[in-house]
Amino acid sequence: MRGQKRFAWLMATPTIIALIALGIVPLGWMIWTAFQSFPPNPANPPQFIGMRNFVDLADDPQFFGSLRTTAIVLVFSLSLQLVLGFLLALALYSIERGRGLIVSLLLIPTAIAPIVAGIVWWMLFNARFGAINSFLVQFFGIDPVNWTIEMPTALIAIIVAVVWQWTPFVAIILLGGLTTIPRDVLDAARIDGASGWRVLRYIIVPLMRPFFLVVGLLMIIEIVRLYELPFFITQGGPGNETVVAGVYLFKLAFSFFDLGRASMMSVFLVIALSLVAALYMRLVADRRMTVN
Amino acid sequence: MSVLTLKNIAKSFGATEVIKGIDLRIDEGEFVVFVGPSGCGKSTLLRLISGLEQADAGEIILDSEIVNDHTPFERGIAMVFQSYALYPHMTVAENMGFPLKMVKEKPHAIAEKVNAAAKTLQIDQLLDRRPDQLSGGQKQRVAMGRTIVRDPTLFLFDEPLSNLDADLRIEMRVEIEKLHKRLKATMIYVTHDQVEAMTLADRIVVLRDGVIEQIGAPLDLYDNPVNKFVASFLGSPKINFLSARVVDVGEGAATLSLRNGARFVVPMPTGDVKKDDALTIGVRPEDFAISGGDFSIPFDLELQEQLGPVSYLHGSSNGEKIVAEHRVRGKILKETASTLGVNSARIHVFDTSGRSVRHGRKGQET
Amino acid sequence: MTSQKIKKNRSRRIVRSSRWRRLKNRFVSSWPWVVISGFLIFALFPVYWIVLVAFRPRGDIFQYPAALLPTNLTLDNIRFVWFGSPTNEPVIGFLGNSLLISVVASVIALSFGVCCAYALGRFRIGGSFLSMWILSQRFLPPIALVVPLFLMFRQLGLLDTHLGLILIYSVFTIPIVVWLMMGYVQSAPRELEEAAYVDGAGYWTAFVRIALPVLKPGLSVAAVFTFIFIWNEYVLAFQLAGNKVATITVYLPRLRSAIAELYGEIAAASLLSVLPAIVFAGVMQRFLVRGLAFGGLK
Repeated sequence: MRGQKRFAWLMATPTIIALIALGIVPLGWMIWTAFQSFPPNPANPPQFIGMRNFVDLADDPQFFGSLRTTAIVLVFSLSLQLVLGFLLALALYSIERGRGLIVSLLLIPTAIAPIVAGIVWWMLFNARFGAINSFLVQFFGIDPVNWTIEMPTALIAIIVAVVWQWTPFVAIILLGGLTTIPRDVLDAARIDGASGWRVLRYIIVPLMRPFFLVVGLLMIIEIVRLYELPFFITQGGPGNETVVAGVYLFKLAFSFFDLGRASMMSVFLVIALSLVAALYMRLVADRRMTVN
Repeated sequence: MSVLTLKNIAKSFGATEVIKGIDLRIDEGEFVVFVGPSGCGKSTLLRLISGLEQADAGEIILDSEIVNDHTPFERGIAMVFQSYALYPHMTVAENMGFPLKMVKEKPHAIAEKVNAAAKTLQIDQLLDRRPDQLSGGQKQRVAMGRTIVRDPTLFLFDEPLSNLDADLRIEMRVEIEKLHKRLKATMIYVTHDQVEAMTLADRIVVLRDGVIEQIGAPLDLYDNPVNKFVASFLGSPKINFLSARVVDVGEGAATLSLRNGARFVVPMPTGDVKKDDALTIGVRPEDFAISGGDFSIPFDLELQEQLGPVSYLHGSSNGEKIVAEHRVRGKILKETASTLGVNSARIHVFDTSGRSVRHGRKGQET
Repeated sequence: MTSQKIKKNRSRRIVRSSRWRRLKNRFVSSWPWVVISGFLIFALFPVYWIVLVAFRPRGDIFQYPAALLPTNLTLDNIRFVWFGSPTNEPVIGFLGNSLLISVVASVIALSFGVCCAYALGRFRIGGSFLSMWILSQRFLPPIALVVPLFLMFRQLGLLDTHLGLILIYSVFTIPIVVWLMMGYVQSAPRELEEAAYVDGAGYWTAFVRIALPVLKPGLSVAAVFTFIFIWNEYVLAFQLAGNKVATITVYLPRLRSAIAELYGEIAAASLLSVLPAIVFAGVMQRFLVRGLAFGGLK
């Protein structure tokens, strides 16, 4: 119909402008600042220092430490989230009554502000006044554990909080995936003589593959951007053992005020996340082709 | 009320040419049905006429005005969609009144027209309901009601009955026919159902691969198909095809022989075929008879389907599949039906390219 | 083996297997509830703890070991949070900022986002590149952009202003809205709008009067997402504002870094912060599964 394209572009233009102004421009700014040195006094202009920030970052053991910690958190949280989330999704899929209510209750952790989650888990893990130690002392007679100020328990505390916050979300996405599998297919598999386990192994899991991939990638992004949970549970301690990438970036920028190096680290994170995003887009595109 | 003329209309989606240069003239008050297999372009052609799609080339002329650049509304068309496209958040009355609201008619005028239309379609008791509270047939009526409230110049129907069950389909078919009689409006109707096409149409347009194969009155197409495609598209069960050979060519007639050696003479324009040409003859199931006809073919009966007044005999003749209609009740013995008689005046003859040779180009020029 | 023996064997196996099957069935039919109950406890215990501590007197909070069940109840913490005390500011102003910023930014993001999703989903402008580009913005976390945004806002004088936060939150949530709404747009029947064009509606009228009402369920899901995202956001709220214009998420850590660690007050304030999450989760339960599944893959 006449004027269709013009109307469509008019509808999309505000968004495009907004995203360029506050999405692309800061990105460009960030790349520029990644090659500058910022004097402590903001009144003095920054100076171009070429690749110095990159070299500094490459020489910075704390930077690599933060990446390693992020990787550890990522590996453990992601596997727990996927396994537990799928188990929960299957459980939700097989019940008939009360699903809506249960789903909404389960989603509360995901809907809670990460900063609140961090504070609450810090309270729960508190060595003296926390509920977890109280539980261990009263029911198992175990000596109180210094959860948040010793390794590896500090890391465990963070992983528990991450799993707590995001597993329900993973489960709901996977549940959405399960509901897209036609009942006929499952019935047919049963009539063909497949046991429950085999239906799961040969029908459900393969069909769920795209959902696993997508939710897995979403979780990778969530974990790479982690800040509030680790910061408020352990403050990065003991030492710098639980400083994840997000916390270190913040430290660089707003504790050390090394805005140049922080920008360089942001560039690194954005590139890493873009690769993950590109992978995601590829998967979504693939999925579209197989559906149509 | 208006005359619609299409001149060399073409449309592509990406690299696929969906409509390949179509010329067509539809007269005032005519009921024209587009039929064809899925993917033939019939729905696209309808959408081009409606203005929902824009033609890449050619002219669409309503009366004497070129309307290529007009919106559907400016063309003054009304359309019934396959899914009915009732607005789910509006009541029946609001649905039917929506086109009037768009031209800023006064509320009481809208109510009046909606009520009148509802009465003729017998849905006046449903006006306060929402679409999800209606049955399929009722939705269909509301969709039609929405079209008639505004006196369109041209009615378009895009497979409007395909979502209904068999009974309702017949009922609504009759309803549409009545509507056409009463409004005397020009209507274009797309369907893949040949029964709808045969019963509703003043003229049928048979489409294949974006090209018009044949245009004509329903019975004319049935009796004089210009090619094998049209012949097999209309008629159920399908027309039977048997291979034949020309054994002799005479003045205005030719002698053909079938695989079994049966020979018969068919009238044919001189010069269209020559001796030893391979041809295909088409025989409709109802043109076979167990006895009679002026020649016969051997028949190997495999299965008799009894449908009540009529039964279909499935079998083969010299390895070619055949379905014959039999109008006598009761079980037929294989031996009784060992041959089938054919009246040579009723057969269709096609050349190797599938074109009808016996009827020449008759029926194609309309 | 003779055929008799086989028969005997088989009948014995049937008896045993039916008993085993009954046991198995009982287990099979109850395992989902075991899993779900476990998760519910895990998911809700921290929420329970917030509520518990929020109503617990100061003395009881610092008991060792902490009492796991409700003990004495008090409204002191709530009162201190609402009206302030010598050790903390009242929460009202922060709450007001959060509410104002969340509502305004959500409305902006929804209006921009749904228009854009409609343009992309219905008319497929810009090919896949444009939609991919917009969707990819979703992967840029605030934390990655906080440094340049801080410098940019400092330059533009937007630091510590309502406008600044509203702008940046709208832009961060538009891709979420587009992402969610595109699935809804594509699954809504196109014929409805076409019928409206035939009935005399223009593109805008068909969008507002036909498409938007049909998209309402999707819009409410998107509204919940954007609101909660903004309400919960801390990194930008703290770095780009946080002095004159401070939100509830900025209020919380202030209680902790104050003279004493105000456990009870933190819990009471957290309760306020969690409230929208709970309310909206309840309201949205009907749409969530569908909405998330759609958005995830469409």
